Amino acid sequence: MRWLAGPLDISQREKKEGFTARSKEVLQRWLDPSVLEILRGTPVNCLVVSWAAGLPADAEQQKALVPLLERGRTAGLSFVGLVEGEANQAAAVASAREAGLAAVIMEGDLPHAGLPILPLAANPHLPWNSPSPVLVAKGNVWPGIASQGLNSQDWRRGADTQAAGPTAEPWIDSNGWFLRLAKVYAPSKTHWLLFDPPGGGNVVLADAYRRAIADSESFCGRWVVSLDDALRASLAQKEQSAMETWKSIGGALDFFAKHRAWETNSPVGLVGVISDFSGANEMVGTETLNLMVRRNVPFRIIEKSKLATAPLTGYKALISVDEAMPEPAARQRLLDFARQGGALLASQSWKGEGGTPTGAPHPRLDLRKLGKGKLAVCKDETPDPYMVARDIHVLLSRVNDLSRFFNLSAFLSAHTAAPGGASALLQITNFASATRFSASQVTVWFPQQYRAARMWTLGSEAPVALELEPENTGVDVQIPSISPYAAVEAALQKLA
Amino acid sequence: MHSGITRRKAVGSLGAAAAGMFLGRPARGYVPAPTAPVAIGKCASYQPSELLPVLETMFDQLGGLGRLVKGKTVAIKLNFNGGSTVRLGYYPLGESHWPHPNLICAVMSLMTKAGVRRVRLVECAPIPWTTPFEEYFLEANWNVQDFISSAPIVEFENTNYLGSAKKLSRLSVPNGGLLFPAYDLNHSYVDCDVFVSIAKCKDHGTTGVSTVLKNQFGLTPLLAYGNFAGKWEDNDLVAGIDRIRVVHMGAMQPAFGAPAELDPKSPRDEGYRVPRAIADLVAARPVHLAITDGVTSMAGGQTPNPSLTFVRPNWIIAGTNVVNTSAVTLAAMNYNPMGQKGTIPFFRCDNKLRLAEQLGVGTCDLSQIEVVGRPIQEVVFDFKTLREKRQSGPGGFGGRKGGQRGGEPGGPPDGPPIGREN
Repeated sequence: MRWLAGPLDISQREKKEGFTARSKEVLQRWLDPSVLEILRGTPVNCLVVSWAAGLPADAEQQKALVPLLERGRTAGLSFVGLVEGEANQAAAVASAREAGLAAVIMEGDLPHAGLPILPLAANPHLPWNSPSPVLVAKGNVWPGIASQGLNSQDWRRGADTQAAGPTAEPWIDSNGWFLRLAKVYAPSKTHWLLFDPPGGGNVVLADAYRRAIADSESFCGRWVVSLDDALRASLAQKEQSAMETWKSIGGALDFFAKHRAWETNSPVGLVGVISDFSGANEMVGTETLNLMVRRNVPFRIIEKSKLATAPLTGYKALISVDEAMPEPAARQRLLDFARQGGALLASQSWKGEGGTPTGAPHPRLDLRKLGKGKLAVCKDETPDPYMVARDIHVLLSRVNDLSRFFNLSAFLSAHTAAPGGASALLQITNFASATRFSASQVTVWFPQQYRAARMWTLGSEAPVALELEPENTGVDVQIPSISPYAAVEAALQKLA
Repeated sequence: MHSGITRRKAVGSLGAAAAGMFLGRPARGYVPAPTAPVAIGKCASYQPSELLPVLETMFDQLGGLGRLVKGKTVAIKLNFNGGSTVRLGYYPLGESHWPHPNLICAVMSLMTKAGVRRVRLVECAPIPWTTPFEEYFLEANWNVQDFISSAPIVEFENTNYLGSAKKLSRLSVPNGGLLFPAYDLNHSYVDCDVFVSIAKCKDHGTTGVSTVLKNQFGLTPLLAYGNFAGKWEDNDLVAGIDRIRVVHMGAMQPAFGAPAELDPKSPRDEGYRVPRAIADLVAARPVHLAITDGVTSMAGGQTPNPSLTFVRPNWIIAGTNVVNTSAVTLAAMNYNPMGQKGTIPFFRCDNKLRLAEQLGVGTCDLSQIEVVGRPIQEVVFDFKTLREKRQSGPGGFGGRKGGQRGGEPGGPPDGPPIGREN
């Protein structure tokens, strides 16, 4: 958990818009070790404190934190120091070691630090090969309806609108795409995400915090929980409504802590996204992932460097929109994939790679038949990732849907399969909180003829059995409500 | 139905072929409008084993499908209103607000048995023109293969766009029309020998009731009649998902070269305009076979929301005159098909059946319509009383129970309509 407190945080934030005398008071108040009491009975066991930023307040901060660190350690908490900006990293690490911190988070490396360094970088540029078991990403988004949404209320403007993308689809910000990528590049590591709630006049509701936790945990990440000023102020006063919000946050954290086994599941998806996600390909590659998540099209990631040997079984469509053509062996594999019946959506560099024009007009794609399959070559040099995500779904066809959703308007889902494929897990985060359709009597259709399904909700100790109805060669799973998260387990046999 | 009908004649004769007796009428007056038998069949489920014999009997009672469809291209207008991913509770779309896929496939199978050459499934779907119409079926969780295997040749056409044509086809309203003189539609509404309307029976806030007649409203492509007609999103999706500004409110004229309305000074009231547009359309594009799916449906509105009530009328009504068929359907819903504006169900609107009658399409006078099969009295399902209870009850009478599979009728008063009207 991010524990904002002390002179360094005041110094860093006092120049920002919206900083008030109350903000300062809260940052001072949270230095008081007694505030740690709110952590009792929660799964929070590690606090991230600001340690050094190359500012005059650094030394004062480290000194001011001492009582908090001492009380916290007595209570079994560990502390990690955040070293940022122009800080003298060596000095900061030395002082952290001396103060008994468990680790520091900072950019770059510091050999022989004598203290674990948790590498910090803006996503997606993390040092994947670092020996650290934990990688820390910054530059993440606050999950929710884009810009201004239903997860918060802007009292200054009285806004009650939700942002939408083209076609009126809700434009949901999520860190899911990055975590999917992180699990490919560093599958055995734990990925911490740093991001803060929206500031200013936004009142952040309990469900918005729970969504933020669910958005990270559904994709196997850990949000370093960061509370807004108003909530921290109220918690310091032990106000009842704030304590209830905090309890629900703790309940969400506890829920996911108890379901770590789900992280051994594997993503399912008939679409493969191939890229090196770097350099000239970073924007289109990562944004394609983002928009595939946003459109709830299940996908798997294929590292371009491993394409020549990566198994392509189980895929029905592939996206290869990196600027340059893959090296010859990989290119041949992709062409063979299409010839054997797959659909390949490729960048403009694939122009002239064969196939017969289908004759179907298309504003963005040159559609060609290749063997038993399809080759769709982008007409633009830089394809629009939104269109890529949409067009691949059409090329794949909904006949291959792994799930279909009804009565959900603004949601993200993470679809995985348990080891051995014994059961499926569909984690759904509902981002709409105000519309009547958003949360109740939701149906998820699966093409499999599942015989058992159950649902977990945040804070629940036991699952609830769900009704199933045979429908269209598969099965409808009936979900009474999703507010704001539900995990649906479904299996062909009775669930253990 | 004349056996020698061609698609051009079908449109040009303005419905004469449909009922075999329409001769063209002046737009106003009380000259008796055409009438043709309407068949009512009891049907308690969508199992093909039950649907097929019921429908076959009904079609025989109407004179047989063979004389209507043998060797012909048939276009079936599908009544996809309200969105493809919205359900009334847990009910699949075909059980509440879209006609049931099994019923459509059963009709297609019987047409095949009667010698149909080709069936084209048509509807204005709010999806990009680069997305095959079949994908919309799949999104709604319908099995496209079931349709494909139900007729010798099956085509899918999203009539929001041009399709294979280079321009929209203009269909003039006989005797000048009530709202527009003519409508520009997708070519599929012209390039067919036989035109079929299949729709659910539902309440409708704007025009009272939504059945096979109201289904014609959805002929108008968003390309020309949508809220942002003439504009595009993302290159291949026409902007706007309904026709509120052009047709309902008259706040703007159609785009894409479609004819402007007759009288820009006429009321901008949707209760005036929408019924007239429907009457115009059914006169301009005659319906040869109308089938109301009343096996299951919902009461209280035409697009799902949790306040509506799932209902089981357990009947199907079909006829070769769409106004006659709609009139019998209204009676089977316990509504007066000849009701005036201000009476239930036409609270805020003119009666579109009477308007269509004035255009000479067909009578809505039950005394003039021969009902075959089951009598109306035997099958009446009381939508009217449900509606009255909704309007009188302060908070409804059953919460959301009615929205659940197997639930009983209930629910608070009508909620806001959501989604398009087709």
